[in-house]
Amino acid sequence: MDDGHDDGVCVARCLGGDRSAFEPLVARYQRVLYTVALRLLGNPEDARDATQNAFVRAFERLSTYDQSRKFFSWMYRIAVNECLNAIRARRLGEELDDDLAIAPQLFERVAARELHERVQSALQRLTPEYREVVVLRHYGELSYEEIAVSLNLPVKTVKSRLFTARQRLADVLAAHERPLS
Amino acid sequence: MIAPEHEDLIQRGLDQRLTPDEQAKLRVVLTRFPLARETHQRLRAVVGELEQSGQVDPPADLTAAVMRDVMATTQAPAAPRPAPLPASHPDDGRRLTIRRVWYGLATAAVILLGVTWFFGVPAIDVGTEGTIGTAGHQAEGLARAFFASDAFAALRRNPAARDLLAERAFREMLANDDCRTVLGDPALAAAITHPTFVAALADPSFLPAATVGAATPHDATLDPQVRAALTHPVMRRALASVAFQAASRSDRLRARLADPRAAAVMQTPEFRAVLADDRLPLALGSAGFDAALHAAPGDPPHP
Repeated sequence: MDDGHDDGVCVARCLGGDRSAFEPLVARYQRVLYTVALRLLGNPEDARDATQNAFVRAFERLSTYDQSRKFFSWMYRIAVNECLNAIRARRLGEELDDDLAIAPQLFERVAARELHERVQSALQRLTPEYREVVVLRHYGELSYEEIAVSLNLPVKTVKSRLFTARQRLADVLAAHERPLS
Repeated sequence: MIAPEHEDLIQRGLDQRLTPDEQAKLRVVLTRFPLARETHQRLRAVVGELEQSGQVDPPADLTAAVMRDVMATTQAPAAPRPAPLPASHPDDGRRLTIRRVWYGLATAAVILLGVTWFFGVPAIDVGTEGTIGTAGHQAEGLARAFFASDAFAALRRNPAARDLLAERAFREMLANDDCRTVLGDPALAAAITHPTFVAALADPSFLPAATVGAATPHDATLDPQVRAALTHPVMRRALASVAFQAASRSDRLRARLADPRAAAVMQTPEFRAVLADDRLPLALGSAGFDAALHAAPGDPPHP
């Protein structure tokens, strides 16, 4: 996926005025970024919006991109920030996707679905702080240090959050498997 | 309770970040400590599920949709700026890219809490049940943390900063992305507070012309640095904002901006730190802002 040389060429062409050169970058990274957005936000429409906005923002700010760094790392942070903003805004909106507000019966119905839906559902039961670190680690494949940079947190906090998040996920998934009483 | 060093070994083991020695140590731990073993097994299952769930295909038309926006955007990545900032202020466009992402999309927070504050309705009760209460609780927690920050404490000890922050119109400016960017840039902030600019603001015909780069009767009297700043696109967007236009109509705020102490405040690291603080929009929407601002230096920053 990561082709630094090609990325650099595309960026240079964009900066030279060739907007179409941005397309290979979108094609190359849309899958991983969309996956992260979907896992963070929990629904395809929001994930699509966040991914699309992130790419457009990245294009608009391309002149601020430090070409000594990996394009993907820079792009990734923009996308994650887009998602985190959406989560924060949603938290304060009227239609909060409150982690505790998912009805038990809905949660039980989800048990019969495909694995990714099961994991997605479980992720949505985590608070955004815990969900973020799990998604960045597993779907963005970021290291602890990269997550720390993305979320502006100490590495130690990232590690402890990730540990707790996984434990909670285990609890949620275990509850998910529990037979109906 | 699992020992912290065991937790660390388990965690890094799951993420395949152990050295061979540490792997051996983990094996010993898992053999000797049942709780560590059980935890490891549970978490390994979770990690397995996460990894199996894999990546998801994006919508088929996503690339096309992005490219439509890219082709349509008026912000080309390397578009030259209309005019450089004054040479005495070597800041270039990079300074102007301070984190707008968060602020832009935190609009919901500002609207929800800002409306509450603006109309003088009591703060969202921390104990209120329901989703709004939950959101308010989270937001107020972040706002309190902001009020307790060193940067905010430094500003509230500074009389000129306190006077500025006490102005509702100034706080509306702080809640606006472009105004905040301008205030965070030394050259542009200096222009905003320059006496020749503030004097021009008193003329209602000045702003509409300045925002589109048209000539104004004040051009001859404006300081050259102010004239240069007025060519900057972010500056023009800020001037065109509802927040700035409302601020420009406030005689009291104009007087405060023209006060040299206001210009000095905007050049302080504390002011920049406050502008860069992600919690600022939430704090601006908090009903506790005034109380926190006017608390005595030794008092807790928030009731």
